[in-house]
Amino acid sequence: MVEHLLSELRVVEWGTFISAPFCTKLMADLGAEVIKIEPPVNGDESRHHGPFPGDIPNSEKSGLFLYLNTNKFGITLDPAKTKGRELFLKLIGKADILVVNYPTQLVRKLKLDFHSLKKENPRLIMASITPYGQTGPYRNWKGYDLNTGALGGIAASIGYPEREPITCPLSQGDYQAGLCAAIATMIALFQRDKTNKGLHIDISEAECWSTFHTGVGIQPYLSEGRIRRRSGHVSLHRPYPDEVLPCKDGYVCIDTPQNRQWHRFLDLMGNPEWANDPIFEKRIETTDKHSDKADAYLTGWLMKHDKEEIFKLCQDNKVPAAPIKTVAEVVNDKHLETRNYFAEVDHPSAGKVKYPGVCYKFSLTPSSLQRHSPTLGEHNEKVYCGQLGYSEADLVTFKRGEVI
Amino acid sequence: MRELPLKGYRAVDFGWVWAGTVLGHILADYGAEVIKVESKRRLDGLRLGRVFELGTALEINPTFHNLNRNKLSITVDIRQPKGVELLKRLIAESDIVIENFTPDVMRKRGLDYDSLIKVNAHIIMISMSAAGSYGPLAHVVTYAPVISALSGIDSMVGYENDRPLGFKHAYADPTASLFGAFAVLGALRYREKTGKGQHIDLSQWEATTSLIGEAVMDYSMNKRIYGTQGNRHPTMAPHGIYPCKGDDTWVSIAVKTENEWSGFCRAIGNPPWTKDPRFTDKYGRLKNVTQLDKHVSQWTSKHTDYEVTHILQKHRVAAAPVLTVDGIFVDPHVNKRHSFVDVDHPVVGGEVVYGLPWKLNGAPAKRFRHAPLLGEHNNYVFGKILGLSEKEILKLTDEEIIY
Repeated sequence: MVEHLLSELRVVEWGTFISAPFCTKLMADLGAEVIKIEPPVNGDESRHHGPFPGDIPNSEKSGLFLYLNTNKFGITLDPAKTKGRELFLKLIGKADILVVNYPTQLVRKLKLDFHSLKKENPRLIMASITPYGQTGPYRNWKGYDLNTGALGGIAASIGYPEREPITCPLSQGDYQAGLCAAIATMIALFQRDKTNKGLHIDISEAECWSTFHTGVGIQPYLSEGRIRRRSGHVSLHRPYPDEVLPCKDGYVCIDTPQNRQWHRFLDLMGNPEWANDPIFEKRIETTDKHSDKADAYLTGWLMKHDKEEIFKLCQDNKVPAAPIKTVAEVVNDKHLETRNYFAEVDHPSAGKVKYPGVCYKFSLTPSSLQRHSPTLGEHNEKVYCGQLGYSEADLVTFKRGEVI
Repeated sequence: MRELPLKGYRAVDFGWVWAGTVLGHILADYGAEVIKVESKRRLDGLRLGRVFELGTALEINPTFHNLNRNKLSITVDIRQPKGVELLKRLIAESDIVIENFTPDVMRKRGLDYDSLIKVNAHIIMISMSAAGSYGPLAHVVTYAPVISALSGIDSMVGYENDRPLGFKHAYADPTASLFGAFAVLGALRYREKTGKGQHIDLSQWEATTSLIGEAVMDYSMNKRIYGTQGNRHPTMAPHGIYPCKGDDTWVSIAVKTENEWSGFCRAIGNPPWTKDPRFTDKYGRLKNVTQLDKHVSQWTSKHTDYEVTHILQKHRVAAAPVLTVDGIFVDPHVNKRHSFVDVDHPVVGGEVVYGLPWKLNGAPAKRFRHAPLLGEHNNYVFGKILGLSEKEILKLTDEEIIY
């Protein structure tokens, strides 16, 4: 048997939509055994989100669900039922890690909080992902990705000054929270090695933004009063250009903080006359005060060239720049193809589709198992009979009683 | 006193500017001894004043201080063979090597994985370049915004039916570091179990693309190409950022279920427009979202961001103010959660760095130490860890090997 990086790690996911499923996907893709618990009948919310092939809704063909649940075992279970809770506790008894992103009040109401669960398994590591965390005045507030991005400070930095701020596309905060949960869980395993005791991890999605992403802005605010606000396509207080500009067939991103990069960029454009305009003497001021005029100069050249030309010219001259790639261009990219980044996964209902793969390659252990996302309750028999020792007759009773 | 979870592990951190650097601080925050390798020959861009080529003061950049807290710093000239030898001796005594250079840099210095396993067969090394260690664009020249561009995410950042604006944060840098931290911790556990180290080749581009799986899947299934997304949501309405009373003040509101919709209507006092058949079910609200947003804005404009938030949250509707750093810093919730940490820095004095978005209840808390001064730990690392005498260290310093 091939050994995987996280073989032997037993994970239970009691989660829905993106954050908890993404966290356990990271683990499952590296070989952890992940048992995903879904509510009977409807399943995970992401089953209803789409995208669907041909735009025809089908809970077994939702693209978001298919992407987020590769390599997991899927079971159905309603822990609100007495028998359901009993089965839940049995699963927890065998697990190293439980990842949850249901609201704290619900988890407490069902007595499935860490305090209750550690009686069943004193070595359990439980990661709770919530919008604002388990402590503090907003701990019971409702929040979706939009709200955590607002509170965490990322939304305020995107958009035009004269229009409303905008949030990041496709629920980025949920992914950030899933990533953070995965790291915290790994650290907790090292702690458990030292104490032989499980522990509870409290992850705040809003804080994933206000630490790693916007948190570096706190000290400049305290010492200089600098506040980062939305500024359209330019990046204020950065040497010009650090921005997205149109070209012949789309947009490009150019970022030349170092003077030598800027000069190489001017060279490759043939040192145009306009480069002598005094507005370019101090490039931070160019950005902050003269970006309209500067953009007009630059765009004149950019509009004569297409993205691939600009990309090649810039890269050949070591100027940090690249096209704003559309999703089609990303999926068909030759570099990513060489690295076998995208994986074609065959799913019993959705068929063969190209999925984003794993972003790291390990020299010793394989990085992806490529088992398709489970159909609803696909592994009920394997888990309930194979692992917990129930009979097939028991399974029928569980189903009739709407426990699974 | 109980030990921090990663105490006993040592990492040599070649992290340059941002991406590798965050990975190093996560390990350091939990007790690993993380040694940042620097050199006066070529300083980390973040050391140089505020950002790049803007000054010469080495110890004042708050971003550098955030990303390097809890680390030690040594200065070694890796262009000299003796410098490389010195680092190999250190790596022989270490568990992890972190680097985010373009693929050739470490190889040219004889510090690539194949060379390093000769001095330490169990070493775990992570290389996290922009596009991975091989492939036609392996040497692509980038900063984080350029990686966002390549990843596909930038094509979706912007107002609906408007031009792409691009992420105005170095989104790819911390994001890739988080993937890297997970990979390194996984490899460390694997080594605990099997005794085997290994090399990890991480692509920052691929890390960022893995956050837009939804768009990739729609393209794969339907050949649909997502444009800029704005604040609209496929299944939620209202879902947006609305103006409030006050100068440039905004609130975020997201309504998903019918229950939340009735909560919303109650919260704003059930005005007649909420009974309009265009808005009574989700289908109608999604279809007439422009009109809906106008009604919502009219109501939010009469209140401050926190007023709207409190009114709606009382009725179990998801709302939160849109905060900039000044607002975040004084928000009562953020303060209660200790999201920011005070540290004392020998040059700039008291300053604030970000904490971590997770709390490990049951693990001891780290007292944060300030980011190291350039070469602050040369004596400790070369003397205590490598056992060099004071004289040897002085000689290497004179020769500008320790430099």
